[in-house]
Amino acid sequence: MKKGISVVIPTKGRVNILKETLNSLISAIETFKGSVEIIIVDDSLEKDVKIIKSFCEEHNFSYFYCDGGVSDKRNFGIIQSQYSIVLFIDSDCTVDENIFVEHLNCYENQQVGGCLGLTEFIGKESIASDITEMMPFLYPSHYSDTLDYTLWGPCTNISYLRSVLTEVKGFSSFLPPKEGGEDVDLGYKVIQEGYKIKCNKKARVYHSRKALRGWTGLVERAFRWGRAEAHLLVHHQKHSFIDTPKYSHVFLLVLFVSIILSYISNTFSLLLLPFLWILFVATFYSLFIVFKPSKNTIKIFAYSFISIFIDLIYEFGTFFELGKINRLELLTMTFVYEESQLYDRWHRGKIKIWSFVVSFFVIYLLYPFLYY
Amino acid sequence: MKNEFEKKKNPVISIVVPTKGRYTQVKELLISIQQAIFQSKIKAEIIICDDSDATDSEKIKLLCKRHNALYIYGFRNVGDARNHGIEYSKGEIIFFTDSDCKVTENILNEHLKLYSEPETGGVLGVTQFYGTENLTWRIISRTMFLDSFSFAKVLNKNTSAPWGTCTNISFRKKVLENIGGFDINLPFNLGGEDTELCIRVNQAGYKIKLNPDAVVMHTRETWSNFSSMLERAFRWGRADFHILKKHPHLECVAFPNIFAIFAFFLLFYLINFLLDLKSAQFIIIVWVVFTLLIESIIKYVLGDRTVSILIELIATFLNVVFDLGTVFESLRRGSLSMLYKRIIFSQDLIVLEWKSEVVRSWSINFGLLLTLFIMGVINGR
Repeated sequence: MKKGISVVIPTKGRVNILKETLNSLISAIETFKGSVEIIIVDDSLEKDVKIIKSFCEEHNFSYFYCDGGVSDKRNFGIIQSQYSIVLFIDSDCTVDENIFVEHLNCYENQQVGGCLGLTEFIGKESIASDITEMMPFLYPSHYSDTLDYTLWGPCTNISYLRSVLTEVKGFSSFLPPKEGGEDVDLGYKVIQEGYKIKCNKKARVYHSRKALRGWTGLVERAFRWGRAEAHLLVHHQKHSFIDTPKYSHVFLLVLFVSIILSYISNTFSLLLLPFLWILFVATFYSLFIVFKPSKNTIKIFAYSFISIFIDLIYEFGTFFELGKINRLELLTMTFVYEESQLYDRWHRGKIKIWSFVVSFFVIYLLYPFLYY
Repeated sequence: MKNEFEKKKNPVISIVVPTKGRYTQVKELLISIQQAIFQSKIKAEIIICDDSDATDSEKIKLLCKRHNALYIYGFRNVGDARNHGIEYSKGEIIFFTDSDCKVTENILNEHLKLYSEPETGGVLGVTQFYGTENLTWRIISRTMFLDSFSFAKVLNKNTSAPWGTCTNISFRKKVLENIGGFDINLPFNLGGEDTELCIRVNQAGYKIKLNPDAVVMHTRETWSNFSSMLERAFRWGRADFHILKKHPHLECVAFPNIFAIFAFFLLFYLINFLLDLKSAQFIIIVWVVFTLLIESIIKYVLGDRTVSILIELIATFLNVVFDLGTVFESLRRGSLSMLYKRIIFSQDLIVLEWKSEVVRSWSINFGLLLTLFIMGVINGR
């Protein structure tokens, strides 16, 4: 295997955005002294295929047509690649000109099997985009900012040794194509083989905030990734730990109790209980988070408040998917493959349970007033 | 390393055992130690630190003479006894065990072999129990009080033991002298002096290595009486408060416990009283019973079903008595901190305790849900 970088980009339509990406790659190639090839794996419509293909021919990129989901395309790209490092970039990200040398630099240590770069968001900020960037499923784009090593990373900007990818047999096929989660699963497989994934925040790509699609995108993504987690749980039962009660569990249980109570006492205002409860939970959780006041207190509080509801949507996604594949018994589980992930859940879990407890007592106090 | 040790004139290892009464058990212990010394071919000395009454002390003194063990007498508490043992010892390594234990043949070698690394300050082995299992024992086996005896088996080998009991632990004498030995001023002879010592050993930068092959056998006899276990649970809980006070860097916000929620209930009743709203006081009792019951049922379902739900319930109760001790001591000293804080010895223990923490948080939430339901039914009429 030759030393160098094979860039694999799965594409489908969005030709104008793709052109920007490819142009940025050209600048990066000129800056890079080593060997690099660009592999486009595409299944666009015919009219777009023509445009993309000609662009590739013009700049000596490899073009392949591959029917299938994004994981299938990436796996195909791995097979076609000829260099020792495979770098995955998404078609809607532009690259920094030093990206190739920065990824290459990570592999000096024998144990390193992958390198996660930084995905920086550019463009107009909005509340929705801020929250999206905060959320755990997109947050790993920021891991490389604060951590030396990570347990997985999104395929907007991550590279792996080709040999390692072959060893773990690429992206798993058990995950449904649309939902996602394939990057978490791949990270898990690489770590299991004993490799480390290094973080390098100097290896950058730029992702437009517009592509996050605001509130619609945020909600849709949360639900979709929740569904992906269901498949990760089913497939990796060895690494599923029982989890503390989730927002959705207790919300549904309170709903259940409120339905019975409203039926017995013929007071339908009691159906408000679960919604009141979750509002209080979000309030108290966010209050506990901002325990130490800083200049951004209100912003942090508001974002934390909203993110509880996004978490709720994520959990409903998992619930929905587990129900669909008939594995509801996994509802209380969480996918954890490294001890450090448990510490994190422990610290966040206790704040969550405190907010549950306090919310219950506020509900008890307000209960008599619900009859009016 | 063995040869290096053999060249020296002084004993390599000093075995220090505090005792109070328990003549028969001390006899068996001394025989097992002699076996171990013979097997290891290492120069060792035995020091018995006795605090028995007149009749027993005479018998034990004779026993020591027969087994060539040093006999010292008269101490304030068990920490004081061990400190004197350290003082009188001539060995480089000091091995502690208790009078109701018996050592296995390889114990000395298994401890000594880990001292070749300079970072080793101590070694913790595994304590296994033998003897008849009565009802009390079956209850205790479902509590958290047996956890530390198997740390050496379940914790990651490369970590330092966060703490360990003096049934099967050794330290370099120099390290013990450096950190000032056992703290004999922890209030009220509550116990916990071994835990507290280990915290200081870790703090001083030494590692307490884990060796699952270093085994000591502990009789079930001294752990088979329910009222004494009840008393111990409460006492150890109280000791925990003082350990935390001495080492505030180990303090951490905890998951809500039964007492925190109990306090919330009291606050709830107070507010209702002030606002002149009626509230049913019996709910708090229903909530306590139900929460403990739910926790026991979940543990039963998730466990290997070797004991009944009733036994799980009593075990849960014993765990609560420990927490009660901590909260009691905290309130006595005018502090509410134990209602929401706890000791975190190390991140590794978080992993070990995760499951029980999860079970507790589920039972707390189910308990609160039931309370909501009952409140609703009462209000509905």
